[in-house]
Amino acid sequence: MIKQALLPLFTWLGHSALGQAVADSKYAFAIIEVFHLFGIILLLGSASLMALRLVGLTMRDVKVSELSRQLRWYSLVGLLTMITTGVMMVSSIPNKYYLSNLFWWKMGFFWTGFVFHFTIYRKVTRSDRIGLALGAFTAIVVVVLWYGTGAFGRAIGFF
Amino acid sequence: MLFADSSVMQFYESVNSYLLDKCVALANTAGGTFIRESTWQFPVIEGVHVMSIAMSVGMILWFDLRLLGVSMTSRRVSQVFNGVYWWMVGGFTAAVISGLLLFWAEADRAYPNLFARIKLAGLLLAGLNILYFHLSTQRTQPQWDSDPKPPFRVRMAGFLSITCWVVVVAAGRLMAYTF
Repeated sequence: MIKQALLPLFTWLGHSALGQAVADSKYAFAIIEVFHLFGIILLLGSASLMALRLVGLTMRDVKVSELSRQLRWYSLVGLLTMITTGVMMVSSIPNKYYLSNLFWWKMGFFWTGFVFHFTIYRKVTRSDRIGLALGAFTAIVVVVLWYGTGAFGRAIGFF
Repeated sequence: MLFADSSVMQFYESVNSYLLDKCVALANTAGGTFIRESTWQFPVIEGVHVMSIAMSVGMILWFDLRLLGVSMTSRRVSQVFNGVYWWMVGGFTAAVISGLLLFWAEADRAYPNLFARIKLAGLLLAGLNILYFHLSTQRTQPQWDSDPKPPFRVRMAGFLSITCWVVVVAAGRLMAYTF
């Protein structure tokens, strides 16, 4: 259903000047992919450290809210870089992504991660009165969602 | 006499062809073929490689940013180091093991690849930077451990480290496009 509704968006992206430009260039896709990877490192790097802190495996002497304040801008920059470069890559070969089941799995993980990040994760990492159970739950969910997004994304290129 | 005929170039050519032969032989071993021609092994190892890079470079980054005086400045440098050290080592070990397995499968194509050589050079420079930091810069650590903005050579170590990892990640990704 959602897939059907999104078809016009993919068609439009494919015909857009951006999509055409990336598709026509020999090097653009590879370079965009490198920046996509930098974005992933920023987001997964901050989510990993935060998750380890939430389960008490590192930096116990640093408050969760304090660590969150230090990391949140890096995860935001990473997230924005990933989305921008991701849209550029999809625009250049929309058919390939639209027809790839792995791409839709990736999108499922990504948007669930996105919503989780700005709701529960945001709430939990800004508070210092969260119990270990909720902290561990948040840590596991955020790691599964973001690393899962990365793994499905990598798999698109192989299958 | 042409430079191409000089003994220097002859030596380079002999080393080059020796290493290329070894890499072709390595890729053609049963193990290399098994990884390369499989449906699942190669993608899974590649996935582990990328995810472990996100983990290790992601962790190294927080220490480098502390050295630069950009992030977590209210914490001592040694505190940030202790916080990320084992996770960074774990991620990096996984990246090296998975990377060697990938190299095993595609050694013949990786050896002559320009980006593979840039990646290797980046890794060597990152290693030298760590070694120099550890053997020389770190000796005075008690003097700047709690400085929000450490001295120039400490910030330089952080800057060089980030630069090296950016080169390693970029060259590593571009390798696969030029195989």
